[in-house]
Amino acid sequence: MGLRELEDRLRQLPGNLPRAPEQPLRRWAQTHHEGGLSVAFINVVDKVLDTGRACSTWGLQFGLACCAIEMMAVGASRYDLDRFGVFFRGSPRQADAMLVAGTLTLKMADVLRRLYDQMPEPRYVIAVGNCAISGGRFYHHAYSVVRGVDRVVPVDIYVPGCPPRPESFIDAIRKLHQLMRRESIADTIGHGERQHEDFFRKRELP
Amino acid sequence: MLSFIANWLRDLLTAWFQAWHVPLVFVDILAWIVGGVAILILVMVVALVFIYLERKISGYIQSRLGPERVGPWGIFQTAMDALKLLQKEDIVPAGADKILHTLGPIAFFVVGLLGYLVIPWEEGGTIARMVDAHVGVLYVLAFGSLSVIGILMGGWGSNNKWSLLGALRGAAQMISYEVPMLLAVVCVVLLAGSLSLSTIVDQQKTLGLLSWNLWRPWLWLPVILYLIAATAEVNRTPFDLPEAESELVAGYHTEYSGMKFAFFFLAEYGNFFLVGLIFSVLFLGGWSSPFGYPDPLRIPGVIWLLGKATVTVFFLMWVRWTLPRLRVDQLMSLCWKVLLPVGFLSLLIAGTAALYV
Amino acid sequence: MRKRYGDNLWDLLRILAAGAWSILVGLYITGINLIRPGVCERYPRRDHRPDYQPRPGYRGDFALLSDPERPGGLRCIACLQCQNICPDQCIHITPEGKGKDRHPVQFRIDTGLCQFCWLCVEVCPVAAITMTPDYETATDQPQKLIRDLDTLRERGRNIPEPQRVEPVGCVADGGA
Repeated sequence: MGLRELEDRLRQLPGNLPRAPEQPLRRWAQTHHEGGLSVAFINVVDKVLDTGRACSTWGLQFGLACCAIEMMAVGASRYDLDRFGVFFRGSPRQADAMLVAGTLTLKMADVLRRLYDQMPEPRYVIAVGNCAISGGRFYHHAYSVVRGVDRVVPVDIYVPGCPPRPESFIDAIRKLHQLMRRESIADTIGHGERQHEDFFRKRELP
Repeated sequence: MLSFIANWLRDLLTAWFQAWHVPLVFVDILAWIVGGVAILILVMVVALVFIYLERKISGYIQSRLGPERVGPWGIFQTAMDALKLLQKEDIVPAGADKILHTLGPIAFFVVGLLGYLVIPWEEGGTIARMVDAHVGVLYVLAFGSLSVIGILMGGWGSNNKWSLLGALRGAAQMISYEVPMLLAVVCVVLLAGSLSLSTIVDQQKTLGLLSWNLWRPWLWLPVILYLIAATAEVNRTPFDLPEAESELVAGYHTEYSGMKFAFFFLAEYGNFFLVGLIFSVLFLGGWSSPFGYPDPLRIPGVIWLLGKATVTVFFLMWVRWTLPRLRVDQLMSLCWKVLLPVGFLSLLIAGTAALYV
Repeated sequence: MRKRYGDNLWDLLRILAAGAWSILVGLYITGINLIRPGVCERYPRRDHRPDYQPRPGYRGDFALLSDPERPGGLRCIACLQCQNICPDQCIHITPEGKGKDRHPVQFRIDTGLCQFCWLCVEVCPVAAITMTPDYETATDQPQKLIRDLDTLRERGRNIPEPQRVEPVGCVADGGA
């Protein structure tokens, strides 16, 4: 699609995608008042699955600008992301988390959305750097920058900084792990359509 | 030790089945099933261990640490990877051939498993006497050729031109490098006088370390040739163009997510270990101990074989993190213009040695 | 062909030997690195440098320095200089009072918009605002990235002096 159509489409989006109101995470035991074996079973299954997902998050490298250098630094020897099991895969089909590092321009927004759609569930997005959070230093006066990655994909963790230190990256990944560990398979029951599920995920960091 | 266990089980089952008046052919069938499951478990464990070792070793070579948070020293990392891959959504691309897309990883994995059947794990032949070991070498080379089909199915069934290119390059590479590999193996066969892998090992067991094929000078060219050609067979760096990340996104397994990708991943390491095993059998003396034929330490032959294969695999991983990747035209010209003449030369040398030494 | 494979057999063997030697040297280098201790700092534990602090003047999160004698408890006189100079307009101040009693009742900095340029710290006439070496600020909601008066006051409670890196001066004045 042309640049003009893309701009029109992006202009119609609200500033931030609608977020679910902040609710505490609904655990199975809170909605169903019978306790017992089924609750324990679901909790054990949740714990196992969430631990699996957290201990081996494969990232989709999406380094766009200067924050990409910090992403390379965090994957390198001094601050090593492979210690946490995170290594970068090139293909979106094999990635869990998309690390959007850098300034998103209008031309790239289409590509970003397409790659996000190609990732299999369960998938997460980490917006790294102020340009990805809100357009950053380009918020005023830039004609080609999308003011924040969350106008195009729903974002789970925001890492401020211009650019953030590699330690902030690792801190963000740990917070993502906390988020993952609070998920439950009980929340996925009844969600049929793939595209709407992301926008109403109920999560909260303590 | 393995044959001891196998024979004991067989006797036990025969006794039971005779007591219950069940036809004795079921003992054989049960033996086959148990053997197959044992190989499956072995390959899964091997793939798990070697994926973890690769990440750790690559980390240490690059002055960093590999996975270390997931268990003590990170040993549960691959298990967690498998657990995560189980939860992922299974995507078949629109317009892709569903049957081929699903069968590709399965074909690749199964063919990788089949090569393990003819390896002599112990004295007294292969486990559970499943496969006739008289033509072991031929069998292994045949199944090396069959694994090309899995890659082609994966590439074509993805409806993605980059996958197709990666698959075609991978297929071309694999079928080309079979020729030098075959020539290297045939040199060893000439000296041993038999295609059977057990006989090749039996000729290297007499004096322990000193009688290995590795030390015979007329076999040094085949050693190098086999190492290079087998690395190219299993698509490892420096020959991993079909699956390299910066070249063709991820080559023939770009469009695979979840468990299908796990099959490709595990099968690749299974194949890699098979290369190490065949190298140990052909050149390093197989299940025999380096200390002499009746092993003075009484360690089961399986342990020696696995240890030697691990050392070979470690060496090839070391090579992986040293050398840069070859371009596809350099790869093909290396095979046909350099390794093939070297293969013929080594055949000449080995044949002369077989006649006069 | 001639350049790659040499003129005669002797040349070819020399080329092959040089290639093999380069592979062996490469293996030696990676092998030595395998055995040497690595440079990895295990970040949350920091085994290599347990008391690591970023260098002074590192631009992390914001803090407002305190002055117990003034109304509002902060050094800030709400002169709005930082708000005016910020290139991203991420500071919003609501002042109150007149003369010596002027102080801010609302002071919001959006750290998701800031480019950490240090201009607000440089321009402040009373050295009231500074940036702390605090970099663990990832969150899951962008609203949590907006720092307000109480957070900034808390953060600045234990800081005696701002981390000032003195401006070097402009070229016309003879500076660097």
